[in-house]
Amino acid sequence: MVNFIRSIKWAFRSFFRHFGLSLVTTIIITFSLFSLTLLLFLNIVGNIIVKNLQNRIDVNLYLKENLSQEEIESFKNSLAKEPEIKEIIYISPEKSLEIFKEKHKENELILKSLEILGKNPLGGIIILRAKSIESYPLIIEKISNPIYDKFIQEKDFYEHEKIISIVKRISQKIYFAGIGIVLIFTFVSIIAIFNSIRLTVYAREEEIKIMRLIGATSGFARTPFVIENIFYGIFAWLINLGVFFLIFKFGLEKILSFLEIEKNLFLSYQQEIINSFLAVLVFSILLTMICGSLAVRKYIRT
Amino acid sequence: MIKFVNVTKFYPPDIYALRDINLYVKPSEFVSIVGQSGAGKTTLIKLLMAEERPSKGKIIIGDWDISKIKPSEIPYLRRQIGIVFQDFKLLKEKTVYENIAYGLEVIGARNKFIKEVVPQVLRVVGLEKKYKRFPDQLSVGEKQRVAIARAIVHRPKILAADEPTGNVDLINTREIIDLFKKINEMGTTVILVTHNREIVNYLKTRVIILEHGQIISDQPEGRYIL
Repeated sequence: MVNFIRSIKWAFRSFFRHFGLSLVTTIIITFSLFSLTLLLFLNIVGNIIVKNLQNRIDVNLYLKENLSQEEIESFKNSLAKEPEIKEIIYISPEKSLEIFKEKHKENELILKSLEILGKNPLGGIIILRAKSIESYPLIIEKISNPIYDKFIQEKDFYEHEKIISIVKRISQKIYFAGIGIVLIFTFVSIIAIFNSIRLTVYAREEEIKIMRLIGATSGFARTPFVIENIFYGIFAWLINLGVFFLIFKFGLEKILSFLEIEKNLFLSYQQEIINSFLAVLVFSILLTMICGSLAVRKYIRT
Repeated sequence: MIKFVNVTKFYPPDIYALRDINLYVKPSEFVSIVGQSGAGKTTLIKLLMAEERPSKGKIIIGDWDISKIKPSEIPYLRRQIGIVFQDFKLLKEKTVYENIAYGLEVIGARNKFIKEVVPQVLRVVGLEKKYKRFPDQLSVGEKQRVAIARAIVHRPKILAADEPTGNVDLINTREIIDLFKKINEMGTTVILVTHNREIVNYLKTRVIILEHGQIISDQPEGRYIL
């Protein structure tokens, strides 16, 4: 216990006595952690964008004009039983007309034609949203069942099918590319951090050798350096956290509006963002600890 | 106390740093090992500190055969031996006090004990008023006294000094040698490696002369005769 407390004290003292060296190492680690965090963050943003697109995808069912309210309700109820469907939105013929008029308020010809027609030519619309993007083909297959023909005038999903497959492809690509890039960046970070720690330890080679020559055990000689390296990792992480805090505080609105992401949707990923920062902290501590231990090993053999 | 039995140190392809060394050093003895550069003096100290292993033969300290010492046992051997180097090997960013205390801290001594012992050792080496200084603020002789203080602070049974006056002027050399004598009088076995004729003749203690890795003379109260 005495030795461990002493090691922490030495590590702390050494961190400040070799401040220049500590600062350079911390900055290098910070850059690595920043790149890694940014990448994890971009991965989350990628997922949010995909989710956002998914939310915009739906299947529109244009209902027949002569359906009674009971029939519409019974159709809605049978749709609600489908496990793939997350949400069913019903728009009445009156509301449809209202939306249609609003949409074409600049087009006098259309408005005039409606007037000449004298009645509402639009039926109700049912909008379906799936639980996941993978469910759309199944929903489309189910609503194509002839038993629903008596309710449905027209289905609007052919274009959606294309979008669905594109979004699905993009989301898969983002996922795999994300993993690949994170792995590459992690590897580059490990190399950068290991080399910077190796230089730090190299500068203290004499001290380690002296420790060994005057009777320090290898564990005792190693511990203060490993702890000092963990300090670099923690400080680098704190700086990284501070930088992201400033980015979030002053730039989040602009970033979200640029990416056309709703703030609430972004905030629903809060836990993932916190987890990413914690993962980077664990990565930083483990890496600096292992790198420090490996870098010291060479000089401990004396 | 220290026994070298037929010790040979060979560096491939064909360098014999030491060859068939037989040596016995009694407890509390003061032994000077002299010889020209390359005679094998430093190798002898390295073998004693287990920095190197003998290619042949046995080295026994007390009852401990250190020729085949396990790496995990080396720190415990070194705690029995104080070591002083020609280049002092002080830590520049530590004060005089911290450098001396370091000798105790690395072996896990308690803070209370360190606070008691370090001022005593500072008085022995005459640096009690300079304990807050950093090595760069000391003279060469003072630096060597700090190194000696660090080497004896844990009260080793043996003190080995490898050319401790190599970088020191004549007046400081005399002071340092007197310090070694004082430490020896307190019961510590001192092994002094030097090629300084004046020192050896001044000490009037046992002198072992090495040449090309072999002992060519071992006189109980010898002089430097090369």
